Amino acid sequence: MRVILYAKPTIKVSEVVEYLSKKIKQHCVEFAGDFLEKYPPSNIDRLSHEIARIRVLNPNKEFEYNDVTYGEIQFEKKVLERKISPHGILYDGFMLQYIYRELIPLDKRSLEQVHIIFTDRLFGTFDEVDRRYHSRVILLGYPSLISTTGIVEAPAKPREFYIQKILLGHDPLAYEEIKEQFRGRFIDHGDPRMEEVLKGYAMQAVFYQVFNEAFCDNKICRLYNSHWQEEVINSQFTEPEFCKKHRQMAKSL
Amino acid sequence: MVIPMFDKVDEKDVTRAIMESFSKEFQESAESDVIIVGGGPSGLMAAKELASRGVKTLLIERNNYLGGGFWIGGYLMNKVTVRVPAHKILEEIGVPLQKYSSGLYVTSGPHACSKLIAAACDAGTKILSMTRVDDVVLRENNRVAGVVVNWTPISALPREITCVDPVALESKLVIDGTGHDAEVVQALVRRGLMKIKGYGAMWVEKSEDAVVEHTGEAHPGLIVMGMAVSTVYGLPRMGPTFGAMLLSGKRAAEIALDLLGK
Repeated sequence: MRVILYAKPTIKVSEVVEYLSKKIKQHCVEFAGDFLEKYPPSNIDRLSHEIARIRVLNPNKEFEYNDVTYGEIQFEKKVLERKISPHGILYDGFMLQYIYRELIPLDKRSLEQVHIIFTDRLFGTFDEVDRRYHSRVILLGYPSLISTTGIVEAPAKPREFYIQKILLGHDPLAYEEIKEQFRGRFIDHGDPRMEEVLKGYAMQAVFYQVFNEAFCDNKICRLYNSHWQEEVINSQFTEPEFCKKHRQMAKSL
Repeated sequence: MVIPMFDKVDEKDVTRAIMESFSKEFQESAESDVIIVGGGPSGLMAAKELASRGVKTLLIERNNYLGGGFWIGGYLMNKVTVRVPAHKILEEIGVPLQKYSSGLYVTSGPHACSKLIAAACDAGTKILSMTRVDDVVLRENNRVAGVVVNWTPISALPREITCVDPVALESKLVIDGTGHDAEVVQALVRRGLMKIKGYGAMWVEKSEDAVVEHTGEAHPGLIVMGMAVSTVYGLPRMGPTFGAMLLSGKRAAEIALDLLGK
């Protein structure tokens, strides 16, 4: 089996590649650079249009294609050309995964290949229970997507953080002040701990495809599906790395 | 005997001076490279950047004053804050800034606003105040190629007692910097040529960046900047963040220069 990691140059993953190479002995691990450079779209305008269509405009409504505008297509084109970042946009995760999958040539779509794409796009999935979108860090499947923006935005920050936020409103300057108060208790944009966290999520993608098992119920295990930032920090930075069961399984990788 | 302080000038001379100079400038402004609608911080910034590069720029403002909300900060206090890196723009135009905390600067609203207005004027921007945009001029493939304007007071009069036709001004590009109202965009929406997404409430983090990065051509010939961007794309609504407005204006000017091939 080959584990292939993709990331554009702005996302640091060299330590993740090194980490997986050490952990995975039976399979080949390689870094293939930017996914869109490896598998360039035949028509960038069409791809821009397809991505613009999957923006989530109303998080309380089930997915439906966005009626795209000229400006949205131009924006997505600039993101694909790496001129700007997709800040402030939530995309439907399953549709994004589908778009990426379609870009992988048919002869590369074997289950013998684990494709893991690191992206700065924020994506979410619609929850049928509470009928709203939830942003996600990882979307397992083919390919597996891991969002660096999702690591910051998806797991909830400490409860007190949100109480402060309600009190101070939506002013970005006030927001920065609140962030300062809680500094260290959550992973932030540009956080030096980001790459360490990515290692754990990359392992979740590998476990999913190799063992058909992704998450662990044990809060200390790197495979724990964290819903809170404090859980992310706890599961990704405390020893031992894995619970007993997953430590054994990791040995056979 | 009282020695007159001022030279003797008749009333008719004053009237002629106003009329002739306005008429000459208005006639020249009937065709510009870029028309910027809205004289708030993003409009002034874009105007300064474009005019200083030799782009024939006309700034249209519906009020009799420029600056929009840039004169005052929160709670009507005349201190405004800007976040790094937007402070550099104010430094460049000679606005004294005080570092408040890491990444945050504070300055006097009146000082910053008046300096920005002066910078736009010094660069050669032509200004049409008390003027409202009623509609857009369209060319092939519905490309925006100008605006239809009228005096602001006309819009305040009941239609039954007034029938004052507007006039049209042509340009290669139009920039909408009219804030949340997105007035130029709305003219295209009324014609069924554009759709807007309204305000979104996805995530506040990076909302300023989102406005700057979405600044761009929203319809052929029409660039959207400032808070109009969040209306058009359904981005998270922000508080009074002047830094994002200044950077959005700068970005709009860069895109206009690119589209003009300059």
